Amino acid sequence: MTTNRTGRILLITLPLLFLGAAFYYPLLRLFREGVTEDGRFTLRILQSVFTDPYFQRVILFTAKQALWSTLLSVAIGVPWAYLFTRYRFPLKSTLRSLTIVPFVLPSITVAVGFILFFGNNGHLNRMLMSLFGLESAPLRVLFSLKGIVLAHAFYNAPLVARMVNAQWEQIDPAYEESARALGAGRVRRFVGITLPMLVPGLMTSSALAFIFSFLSFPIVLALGGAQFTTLEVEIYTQFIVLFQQPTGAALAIVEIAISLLFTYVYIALEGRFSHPIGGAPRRATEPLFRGWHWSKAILWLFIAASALLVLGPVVSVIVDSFTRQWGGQAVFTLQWYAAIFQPEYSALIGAPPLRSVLNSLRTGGAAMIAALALGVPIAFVIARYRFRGRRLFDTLVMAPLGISSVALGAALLSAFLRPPVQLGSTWTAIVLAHAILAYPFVIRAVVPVLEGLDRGPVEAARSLGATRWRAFMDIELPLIRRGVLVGAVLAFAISLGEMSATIMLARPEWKTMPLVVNDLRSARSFGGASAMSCLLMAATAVAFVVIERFGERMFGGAKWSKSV
Amino acid sequence: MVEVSLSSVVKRFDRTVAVAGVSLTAMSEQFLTLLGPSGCGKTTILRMIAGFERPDEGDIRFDGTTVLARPPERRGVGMVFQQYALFPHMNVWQNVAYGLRYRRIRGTADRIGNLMEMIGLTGLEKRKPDQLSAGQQQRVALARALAPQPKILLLDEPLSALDAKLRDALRFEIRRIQQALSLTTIYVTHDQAEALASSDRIAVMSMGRVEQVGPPHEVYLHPETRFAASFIGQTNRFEGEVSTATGDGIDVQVGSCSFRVASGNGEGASPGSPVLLFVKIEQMILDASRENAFAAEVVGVEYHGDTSIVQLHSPLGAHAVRMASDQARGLAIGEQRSVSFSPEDTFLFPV
Repeated sequence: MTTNRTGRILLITLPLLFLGAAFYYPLLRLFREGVTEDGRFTLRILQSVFTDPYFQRVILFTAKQALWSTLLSVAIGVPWAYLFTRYRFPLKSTLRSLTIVPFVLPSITVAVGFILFFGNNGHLNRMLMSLFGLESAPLRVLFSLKGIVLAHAFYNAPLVARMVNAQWEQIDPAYEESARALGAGRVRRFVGITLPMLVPGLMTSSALAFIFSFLSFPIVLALGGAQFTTLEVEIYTQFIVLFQQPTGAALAIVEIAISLLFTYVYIALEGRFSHPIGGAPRRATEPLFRGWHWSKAILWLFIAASALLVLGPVVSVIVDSFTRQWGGQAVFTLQWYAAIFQPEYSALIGAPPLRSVLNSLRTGGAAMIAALALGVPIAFVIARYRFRGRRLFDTLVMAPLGISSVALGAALLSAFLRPPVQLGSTWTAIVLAHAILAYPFVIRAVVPVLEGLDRGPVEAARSLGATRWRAFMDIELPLIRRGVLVGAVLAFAISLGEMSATIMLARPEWKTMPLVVNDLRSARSFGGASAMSCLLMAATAVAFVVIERFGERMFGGAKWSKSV
Repeated sequence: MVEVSLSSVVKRFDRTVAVAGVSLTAMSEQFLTLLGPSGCGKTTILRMIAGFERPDEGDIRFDGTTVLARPPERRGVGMVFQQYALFPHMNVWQNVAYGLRYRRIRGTADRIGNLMEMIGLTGLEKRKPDQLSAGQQQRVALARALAPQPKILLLDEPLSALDAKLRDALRFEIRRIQQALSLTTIYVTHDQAEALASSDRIAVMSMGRVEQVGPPHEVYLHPETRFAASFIGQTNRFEGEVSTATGDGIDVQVGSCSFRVASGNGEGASPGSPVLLFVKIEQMILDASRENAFAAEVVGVEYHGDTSIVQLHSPLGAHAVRMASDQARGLAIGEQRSVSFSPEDTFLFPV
């Protein structure tokens, strides 16, 4: 038992020690910068952040755009959940699977897609202009609240749809049938019976959508323009553009306080609601495209509109990466792909673009290994151990989920700038940041699988002479390998698409693909940006296929994370 | 070979006491069954012997040496789990060979081959557990536990997931193997038929305590506690009051009848104390030839094949009598019959 106990204590303390050194300590160092002046404690900087009308506007705008983004995500996501629950139509299961894409699609590529599709000179406006013979662009959504909210909905509406749909399928149709038998009409059935039962899925998915929108960086950076900025972008500006570390740190304190509050709400909601409502038999579905009814026509329009929102930007990126304008005509070309593999853009980026591809792959691989090394032991502790302080452990290991990536980058940058540990803006620091951002997803992929395992086989192995470690390697690991694989791919995909922390840390020679996309975007070289985005999306597509094959249980829905 | 002994073992889970001070010895090479209803602590005892749980108090010894500090992998105990717990990602051969993986033993292949043959698994080596029937899975679980040649075999309700026919066959086989390999065996079950059929000794358990330990016939015929009397076999119960207690016997007033209990079957009974009497249903007969007799009306006859159970009703309550079916055939519903039983078959316990 003694070796067991030692192993157990190590498993609990080592991840905490690592997080303490690589996450909490840097973060506290960052916070300290926001509350000290000449080595003395002060609230002046924080105070100035709250009293300065500019920062007030920034804070308010951050909350406002997150709120609108959440509302729009719910407005689009719930009808889709309804479609998935009630109707059958071609490609339904594929579409439902595609709702996982937001987790892996790099947001800078989406931002580029939005510019290309919704921009004043974008595909949508050009289409409308030629269709209706207009002189000027009819839609002006970019560089405004609308563009940001729309892009956030692109990300979060599928999340809402997936989680609410899962909740909906849990509801026994008998409830509604009995209400119907008692004479309740369609609307009263929905408001009185179905809606209250959907509340858990709605609440948890809204909380997540809010957190994601609140902390979103590349989208606001690319689509907000100079006028619209959120806390996350402002922290970046203070640190990287203005070199105002104390102000940036104070803003980070404010942002993290708010986002942690929402993360806490989310986790609490999830814990409260994670029990299913009875066992639900399969419900009958109706064909969506057969028979005419005005309500179906509304749904058809709705599908067309959301297809425009989702497919438009993605298709625009692909099309633009293969075409160039020549005499008012779009002509097929491979020049953009050629360009990103040649040193043409070196001056712009600071290093050959090809190098960024290698950087991304190396960083992704290293971050994946680190995230697994951190996430799998923690998942094991969560699934297997009960001890005093478990709640504290859970909170400490899940907190990174609600932390701004820009602040994390800034924290790592400032904490390890000087000896003894001089990471500063090294490759190691980038890998650390990516691993910290990715490991919570490893936990979420592994814990449900591990919890689903019966304790019998492990005990059998032990009574047959295997130590706890051997039993894990021989029995549990092979049985959870799909969960680990999904976690690994997610970690890799997150690292591949990560831009916020990386932009704080990366020197030119360590720039990853999303940073190059961003550089090309800000230089308005959209051909190159599109080509690089396509490469990123292709890598993401591979990740998507793997996750979809093996990870169905994990993103099953409202029980998105069972025990965390 | 190895004697397993528990002394004053206590195990609590949060606030509930699962095992409340159990002292028990499984003698070398013997088949000991822990018999009791679910939640009586029998599985917890097994898991403590295997090393999966640690007692809060008391000691567990193998041949006099305490094993509390030994982790499960160093206890040398073979265990068969209730749901088999086969390794789903390994085939039959790999499952059975797993226990030899971390030991350097010569002739592994031969040994496993012999074991497979002994347990009737030859030809299934390459199958995965999900390609086996429940009975085959149970055989694999047994073979796997036996492969490292343990001295102690622990079985946790190994037959509960099987259908009746298979259960009988496997029960017989487990007993045969246990005797052939001279294993000290501890078997957990809630099924008294299983316990009575295979065991050298049975420990009857209730609410974390051992009620009685003894050979099957003794536990069956001479219950020592009220729980043992009511749990084992099918019994008739009477509530009454002791009128006299002498060396010849104890007289108990039950309603308007007076029944005699052999003096050895109700120790410590004193006149005036309220008591319960227990008589097994096959030890009652439908005539007045035994010493304790009363009249009852036949209300039903249940046919069970070789025997039938006759349901009766009297002012004393409802009763049942088991008898050979050909004798029960002549009975008519509503018929008044004498029912009698002897003082030696009657057991008395305080209320």
